[in-house]
This record gives sequence, structure tokens and C-alpha cells, in this order.
Amino acid sequence: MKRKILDILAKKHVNKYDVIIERNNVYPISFEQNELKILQNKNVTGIGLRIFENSRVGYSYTNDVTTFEDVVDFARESARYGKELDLDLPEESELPSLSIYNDILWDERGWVNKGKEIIRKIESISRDVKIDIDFTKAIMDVELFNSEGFYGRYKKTLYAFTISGFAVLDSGFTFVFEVESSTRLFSDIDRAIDELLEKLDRARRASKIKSGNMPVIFAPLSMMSLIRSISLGVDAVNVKRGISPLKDRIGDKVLSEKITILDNPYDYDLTGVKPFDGEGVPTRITKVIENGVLKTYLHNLETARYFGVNPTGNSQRNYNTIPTPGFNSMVIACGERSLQDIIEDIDYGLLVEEVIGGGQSNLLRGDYSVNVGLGFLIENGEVKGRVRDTMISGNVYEDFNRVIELSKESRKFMHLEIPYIAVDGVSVTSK
Amino acid sequence: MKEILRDGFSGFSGEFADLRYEIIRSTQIVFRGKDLETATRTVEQGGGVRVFNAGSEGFATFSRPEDIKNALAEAERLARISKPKEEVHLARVEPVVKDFLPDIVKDPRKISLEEKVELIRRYNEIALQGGDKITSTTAVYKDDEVERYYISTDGTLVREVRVYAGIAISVIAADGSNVQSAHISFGDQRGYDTVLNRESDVEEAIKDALDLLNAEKVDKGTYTVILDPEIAGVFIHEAFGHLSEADHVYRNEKLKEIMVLGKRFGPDFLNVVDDGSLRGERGYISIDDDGVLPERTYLIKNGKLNARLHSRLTASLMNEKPTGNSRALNFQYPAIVRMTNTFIEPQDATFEELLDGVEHGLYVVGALGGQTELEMFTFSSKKAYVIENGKIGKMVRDVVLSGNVFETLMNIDKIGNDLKLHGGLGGCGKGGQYPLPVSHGAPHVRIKNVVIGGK
Repeated sequence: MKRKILDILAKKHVNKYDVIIERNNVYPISFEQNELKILQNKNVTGIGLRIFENSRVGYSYTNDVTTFEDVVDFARESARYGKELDLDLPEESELPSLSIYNDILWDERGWVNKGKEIIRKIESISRDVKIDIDFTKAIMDVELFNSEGFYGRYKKTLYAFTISGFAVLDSGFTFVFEVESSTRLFSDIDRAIDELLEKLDRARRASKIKSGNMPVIFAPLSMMSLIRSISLGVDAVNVKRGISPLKDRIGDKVLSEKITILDNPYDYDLTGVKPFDGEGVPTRITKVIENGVLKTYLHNLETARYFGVNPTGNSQRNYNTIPTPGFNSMVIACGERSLQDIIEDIDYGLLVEEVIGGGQSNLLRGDYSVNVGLGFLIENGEVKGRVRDTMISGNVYEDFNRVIELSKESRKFMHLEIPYIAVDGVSVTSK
Repeated sequence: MKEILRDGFSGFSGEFADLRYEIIRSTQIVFRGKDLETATRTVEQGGGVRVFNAGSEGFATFSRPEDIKNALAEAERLARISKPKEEVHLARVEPVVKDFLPDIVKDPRKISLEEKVELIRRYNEIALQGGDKITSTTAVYKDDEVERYYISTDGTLVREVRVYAGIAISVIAADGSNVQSAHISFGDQRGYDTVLNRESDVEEAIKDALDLLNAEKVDKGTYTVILDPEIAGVFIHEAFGHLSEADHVYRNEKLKEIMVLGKRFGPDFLNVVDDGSLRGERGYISIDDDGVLPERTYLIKNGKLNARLHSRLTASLMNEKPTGNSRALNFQYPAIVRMTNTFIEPQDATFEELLDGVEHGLYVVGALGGQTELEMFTFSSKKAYVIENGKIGKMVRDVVLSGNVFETLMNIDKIGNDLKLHGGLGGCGKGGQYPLPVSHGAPHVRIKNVVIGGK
């Protein structure tokens, strides 16, 4: 495919460009409401072209190489209107070597049987719960090259196991969710199932919580929208646009000194693992926030040039998107004590497992206001029953300056690694 | 094309198979601040084949029509790997053989890229000139022509063309580290007229973004709220629409007892509808992805549960009628039960009558989004105003409302007379399929005892 694309680019006299080719194969096996539902074999191929002409940039993409001549015309048309931009595209370079391709035979019948076995096991313990399960294998093949001599290609596998349970309990409708994902075959399905069952078991008891400001422990799965604010804040595009609260704050303490956040594109168990970014810059481990102090923003080529710094290898790009800075894999460093020890120190507070409505507040500013989908009262150092009709709200940049402690346990899922985080003085509203 | 697709099915002898093939031609223009980030035309095409075997399904995608045979063989292999415990079959429907073409006055496909760029550039410039505190903007124009073919072993053979067009504009204001934004979005299947003459809407967004800089955070508590049509639409979509999707209910005995038809969910004057047949709306479909024609379904009639949204599979399992609500995001996904255009029917109350008698409440305007776990749900507003003694007062921000479907619907105490449907450029997300084009709406609606988080 590369040969054909290069021929067309030469024939059409495109002088400065980069091209991304993605070939992804995805094989999900899904159970719905305790029954096998669907097996899929999906192939997603796409080619994205970016060209630089007359100091302007243009893009287009397709999923069919036979239409690539049109893509060149569309990209050229786009460059007539596009913003002024000239970039030093990466040249040939040495890339980190990562073993991220683990193509294990996908035994569909075996996984179907495994799913049925899991459902039988859960049914024997908890008759009233309905289970959805997905086993997914994906093979991602990414090829990137440009007019300045860079060529890179990597293949990586992704395996994901997700399980969710839904039950109508006396304490209310209850959703519980767990996920295991890695570039290697899932190793810890049983852990996910045990944790799911434990959450479900706890949800059967109901507790009331008083409104007020109190210590709240955020479980890893509950924090996705909260940390999204931080991702947006360190995105150099938002800083450049003047809309990030972290603008002009490099070197300042912006969060509690207990918080350290890395971009780690070398962890095989996180899905953002990769040798080079969406523009061909080699990836590296970056300390973004160290002991609460902002060390760097995340850059693509354009923002690195604008701020006069080296690119950080954080350009995220699919064939149909333009390169945008973001975490490859976001890691919040763990603390020293166990979750259990942290709970024991709390007289009255809330353990939040899952939230409803994350991401609907002013995320840039760091605001959040969410319903506690699954959360438990903590009283006298013990986890009590489930609370309902309860919201928590606040601001990440304010609240994460009042961190009590981070747990030594963390959860890795998709491109995130997060411990439990205990925060003091969070606003809790209950009916 | 139809013949090629039909030939792909020849020789299939199983229970049921269907195929979707789509050619999607899109234009997208994005301004961020003063920069035109993209002005791009694209074409993508591909298809998906589903084989249904006694309740188990196999699904395989392909990119070129000549690959159908392989995809069909693969989908059949996947469908035959195992079966569910109980055998089920799809509900029967009459085959449909028809072409469905759009009926629009001003066709975005006939407008040049240049004209579209100039339109959205003008809106963007109005926004950027909104004052010193306007720090940035995002202004998006998007249109899609989706040429779709649906063909099934039942004998259905349909060609359908849908044309979507819309704009979305965000105005971002900053004062030190205080960053606030206001958003507008218009989009449907009525053509280019939908995106024209939006200058006053942009002006209003500028004013909202600036006003939000000075607005205080809402005080937490329980309030009587008046929802405007946009957020009332999101409310009914989240609070009740998702719960009406039969795939949550069809194998759950306990939930079936709760969701029994005829059960009271709201006051007598509450009627909730899903209707995929409303031409021009963003959630309009000519036919669903099971080959079922769309229809008007009363989910709640006179306060009582009247029907639910079905695919052919869920309808068969629950012994009810398919409703034309089986939808896939695009050819890369299998169809699941989804909403189309969902709304609360209007009643008699004027806005003044809704305000009347509210001693301490909130008037909540515009929607940023919503989410549900079927019973508990949240939905979040663009802006809100305090109501004191029936009068609208100061603006407050960060109003996120939360509720419990069984209580909150019963707490609706007045419904206005001014129904409006809202589409936009976003959509609904479910099972990893986002954004599916839908619209939702309502008249102004008053609800008692809504929990709002805050300071």
C-alpha cells in the first residue's frame, strides 16, 4: 500500500506530507443478560494524509486506497483554506524497541465456554444479577511515513475483558463494572470477577449519608472524568489557546505534593504503549506533575514549535483525526499505605466506586458534579452500606490540593493507571 | 449496486442474514480561535453482514462489495460457534422494497466548500469579536451524505440517502484562571437552511459565556425546577428513554415486573413519545437496521407505561411488536436498540403559569449532556437562573441535576404548551456506539424536588 501511495504523491507533485495508515482487526465476543449475544470480526483500515503547501496545512482521509487520488485532491483543497503552518517533520530516527505484539490464537469456542462458565458461577452465587461480558482481541497495525525520511511501523495486540452486572436490589438498581486490558492475554479475569461480586454484595446493604463536606475516597474507575480535566489542562493546544487553568504555571505547585503524574508509553499493560507518536516523534517517559509541581505540558510538533521546546512524543492521531497532544498512557503514582489502612483512619466519609454523569461540567476549569452511581458510607473506619440519591461536586484543581493519601494499590485499565485517592473536604449532597 | 449486494447473498441457506452497505461523503470545517484547523472533504465506504442463528449472531465487516461472500461466510461461521441456552427467532416483518430519498429545499451537497467555510468563518468572527474576555472559540460545520443499502434474506431491499448538516459553536471566556464557555449546536436533516441566520444565537452565546464569568456556583440542595425544552428533552431521553429500551429488560425477570405495561410512571397529563418517522429531524430514519419501518411509539400514555422500544430480537423474546428502533452507528457496528426522536407531548400551561407559585426554584436552560444507569440519572445545564417568588433572578452556574426515574417523573407538576425538538451535532452513546444521531425535546416542564449538587 505504501508503494502505491508514494507513487500517487509523486505523480501529483506533493512535496511535503505525512501519511498514517492504520489496519486494525477486532474480534469481540459478547454476552448480554447472561446469554451469548454476538461474535464479530471487524476490519478497520484507514489512510490519513496531511500535506503542507504554500505554508499552509491540509488534511483528508479515506478507508479505501483505491480512492487515494481523491484524498490528495481533497487535502490540497483543504490546504488552500487551512491555517498557516510549517513544521519540521521528523527525519529517520532510532525508535525504542517494545515487545507489544503478542498474537495468541483466538480460541472463540474456548472464550464462549469461559463466558458461560463465568455466568454459571455468578448465577450460583447471586441469582438476581444479569451479566454482560465482552472478550475482545484487537490487532493494531500502524504505519507512518513522511516526506523527510521518517518511516515507522508497529503492530500491537490488545486484549480486553469487560464484565458488568446489573441487578434490581432493595437498595435500588445496581450497576457494577470491571475491566482487564493489556497488550498480553488477560491474566486476571478471576480478580475482576471477585471484585465485581464484592461490590455487588456490599451494595445489598443500604446506608444514609448526611450532606456536608467530608473525606471522600475515589476508586480508580470513578476518576475517569476527574483526571480528564488534568489531561485537558496539560494539553499544550489548550494552553496556547489561553483556556487552560495551567497556563503560565510551569514550575508552580498546582496539585497536592502527594500527586505525581507521568506519561508512560512503555508499560505493556496500558493500551497507550507505542514506540512513536502520531507524527513520528519517538515516545519517552515524561514526568508531567511531580510532587504537585507542574513540570511540562504535553506537545505535538505544532505546540512544541510555538513554545520553543522539544516535542514530547504525545501527538495522538488516528487516520481520521488531526494530530492532537494527549497522554499516551497516564499514570498516577501510588502511595505507601493500603486502601484498608486509609479507610481505617476515616471517621465519617464516602467511598466512591462509580459515578454517573462524569464529563458534563466545565471540564477545562476542573469542575465536576456527579451522581454517586455506586458508593458506600465510611463510618468509624469501616465501609458500611450503599448510599443513594447522593451527589458529589467540586473542582479538581482545588480538591486535589487537599489529598489525604493515595493507596499503594492501583488499577491499570485501558491507557490509565490510577490508585485510590482520599481527598478531604469534598462537597456531598444527599436527599 | 443493489444487484451486486443481492448476488452476495445467493446460496445462503441459514435462518436469517442481512447486510448494510454505506458510502459516507462528509465535509467538516473546524475553526479553533482565529485558525481554520480543517476544511476537509472525505469519502468512506464499507459494509457489515450479520448472520442470525437461533439467537446467536455473527457479524463481519468488509470494505468492497466483492468481499461480501467472504464476510457472509465469516459471519455464518461466527454465528454457528455456539447457541444461547434458549433458542429464539427474530420477530417477523413484511419485506420492504423501496428507495428512500431526502426531500430538502436547500441541499448542502450543492453548496461549495468555499461558501461553507465563509459561513462558519463569519460566525466564528462574530464570536471572537465578543470582547477582551473572549479568549477562544471552536466553530464547527459538518455535513454528511449517507448513502445506505439494506438487504436481508427476508426479501427486503432498500436504498436510502440521508443528508445531515449542522454547526456547533463554543465561545470561551476567561478572567484569570476562571474559564467559562457557552455552546450552541444546530443540526438535523432539513438541509442547509438549518445552519443559516444563526448570528443572534452566536451573540447570545457570547453573552452567556461572559455572564457565566460572574455567575456564582449554585447552592446545593433540593429545588423546584423549570426546564427549558432543550434540557427537558435531555431529561426525558436520559430519565426514561433509555429505560424504555427493551434490551435492558428482555431477559431480566425482576425488571420486567417493574416495567410492566400499564404501570403508572407519571401524572395523567404526561405523554412520552419516540418517533423515528419525523422527516427532517436529526433522529429521522426511513427504515431501521433490522429492516423495520419507523413509527410513533407512545412510551408513556396518560402517565402509564404504554410500550417500549424494540429490535426484532427483543420484540420476539417479549412477545411484543417491533417498533423500528434497531440502529447501528455505522457499517462497522451491529445494530442495537436505540431511540430516534424522543419527546414529551405539550400540554396547556404557558411559561408564566409555570413560574407562578414557585417560591424558591431554578430556571434551567440548555443541556450539556446527561447520563443514566436506568434508575438514577444526571443531566447538566448550560446555564440557570434563580427563581424567587415567581420571578426570574440572577444567573448561577454548574447546575447538574440528578434524580431517580420513579420519583422524578411523578414529581412533574406542570407541562407547558411550547414543544421544541433539538438535534445538534452530537448524539447518543450506548454500547460504545457514539454519536448516534437522535433528537429530543419537550415543552417547558416543571418538576418538584430535584437534587442539585453544589457548593
